[in-house]
Amino acid sequence: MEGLSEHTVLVNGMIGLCTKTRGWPSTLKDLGYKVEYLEPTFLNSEGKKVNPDILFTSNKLIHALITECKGGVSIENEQLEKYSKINVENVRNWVSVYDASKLSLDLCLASYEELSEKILENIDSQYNFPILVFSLSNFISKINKFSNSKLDQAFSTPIEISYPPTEFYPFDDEDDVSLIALYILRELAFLALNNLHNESVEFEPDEMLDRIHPMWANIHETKKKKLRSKTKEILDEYKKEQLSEHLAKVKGKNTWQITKSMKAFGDKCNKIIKELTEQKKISTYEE
Amino acid sequence: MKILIKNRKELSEYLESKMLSSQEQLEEEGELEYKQFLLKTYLIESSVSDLNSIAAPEGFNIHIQQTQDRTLQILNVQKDSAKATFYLDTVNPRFWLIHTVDSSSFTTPFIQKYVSSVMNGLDHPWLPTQFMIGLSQKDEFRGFTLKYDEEFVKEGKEKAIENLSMRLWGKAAPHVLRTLKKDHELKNSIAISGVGIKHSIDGDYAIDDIASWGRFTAKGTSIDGHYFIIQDIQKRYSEKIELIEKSWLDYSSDAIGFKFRGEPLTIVFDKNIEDLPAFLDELLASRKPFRLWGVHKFINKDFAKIVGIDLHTGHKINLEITKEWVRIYLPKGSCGNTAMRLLTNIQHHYDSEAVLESGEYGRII
Repeated sequence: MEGLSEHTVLVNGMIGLCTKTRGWPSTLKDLGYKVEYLEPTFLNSEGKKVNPDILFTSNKLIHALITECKGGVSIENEQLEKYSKINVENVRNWVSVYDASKLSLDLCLASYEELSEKILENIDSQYNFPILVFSLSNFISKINKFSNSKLDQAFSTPIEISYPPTEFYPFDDEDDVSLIALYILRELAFLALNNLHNESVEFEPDEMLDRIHPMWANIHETKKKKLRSKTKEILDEYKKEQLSEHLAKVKGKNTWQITKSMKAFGDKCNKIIKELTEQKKISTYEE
Repeated sequence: MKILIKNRKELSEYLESKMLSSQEQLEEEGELEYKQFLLKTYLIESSVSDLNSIAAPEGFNIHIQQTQDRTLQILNVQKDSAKATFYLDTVNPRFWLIHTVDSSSFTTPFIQKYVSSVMNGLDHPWLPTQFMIGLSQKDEFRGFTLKYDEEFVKEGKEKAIENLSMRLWGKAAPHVLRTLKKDHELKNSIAISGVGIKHSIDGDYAIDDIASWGRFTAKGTSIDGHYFIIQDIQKRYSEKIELIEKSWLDYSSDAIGFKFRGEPLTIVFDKNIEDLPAFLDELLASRKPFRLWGVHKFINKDFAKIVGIDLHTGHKINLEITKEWVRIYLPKGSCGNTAMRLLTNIQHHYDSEAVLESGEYGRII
């Protein structure tokens, strides 16, 4: 998936399983699951903070499913240990089911095929978390078992996948600048069209990121640092492309508008996206 | 002679008298008298609370008069030496009605300019082909007009149908429409731009010629019949808009994380896109008919992601597109009309068999 990190694809793909999105299976939705939380932070049974990617619940199965999407190279033992200490008591007060006393829980990992073996190595000796594996041959398959039999059965045969949704979770720190640039450039156009920006065409990265990522406030500081750096890279590219010649101050007001046609502005923005994509390809090649 | 309308009752009596005199004239003479025009009502979708905030289109002057009813206003509009009077009914704050008995050569261009100004909070309804055909199933179906202009014709490459316009009024209308829709060569170009329906009530009746952008031209003997036709369509249309807006993507945070709801709508094509990059160039050209601005990125060769703006409303819209469908993600607060406008324009300019689905609510159109 050009420009999208594995983590972004996995988070969107898992949320997509909870919706009826054309071109994507609705395996979790069919079992009554909904997204209870994205990136919840709560305490495990040892009082340690955990922050998995998604908490799903099914009122049909009275079941909670915590999913950690692993797009990285490996999963740390410390993280696995903390997750292994999550029990149903830790989530009971945060879910909405009709009989919380009957609530049961599974925790699973989601990963790409090429990483799943490494993850299995990590978890096999001590833990038996189920893993949902997204493969390049366009299937989701399962390793290990869910404790809930209906959930386990739903993933017992590989599920065909094709076009993942990409908008539920727009991007994170691992995504390519060319993806993040889509949102930044659109925000510039949006602000100019709506004459909403009161200062100048210079943006601080935090201000921009808060506008374009719906969960910016919750993103971990380490990830925020990377996103700031990528945003700066994009805004530097935008300055280099003299995109500011498409924006001018409105007479008598402290606001800005797009001066040339929207099409011209769009063409310039698409040029930036293309160049950022090419730069990434070159740097990947040079690696 | 200028009639001073003070309230709804007087307006209804006035409009009905105009309908009756037009109908009598048509029955006796076969045509209207000089400076006699049919009743027209324009249905407008609005997110405006203050009428005075809407700027007059260039060249037009608008003088607003209040009546005794605060939801009924009179707009006296002039351009050069031409003028017209409009009766604006805002009792439904989301869907306004604008009535007039003046010449459509003045009233229609004015309304189209008034409504289509960028980001003024007004829009036409966008009645897709299947919606228009559905209207004909309730009342007597009198006729239809078709308008299709292929927007994605590549230079040098001929298409089977590039333009198709047709008007048919008469008893054979339902049969002809069914026949056209069944034809394999034609079926993706049969985009309905108007239908004529008759609503009868105990000997009285209204015959409305309904344009897909929300103009109702009335003949007949019953203003109530005309009101009924409009209100029925407005109700059905707003039900569709409500379903669309239930799909908004919505994020909220609480003590432990982010709550999330929503899912994409999908426009599903019957006719697959041959050249996706060229299709995108036209779709995102920032001009009519689509009026979409966007930046895009191909995730793989047959799948692109678009982050865009609806230039009519100024709202954000995100799309994902393959050769077979377009997913539409609407952020919370955006107008459901955006999705209907995109669908209707795709039907009139690419594939009249395209449909709109919601994962949660099934087929919307």
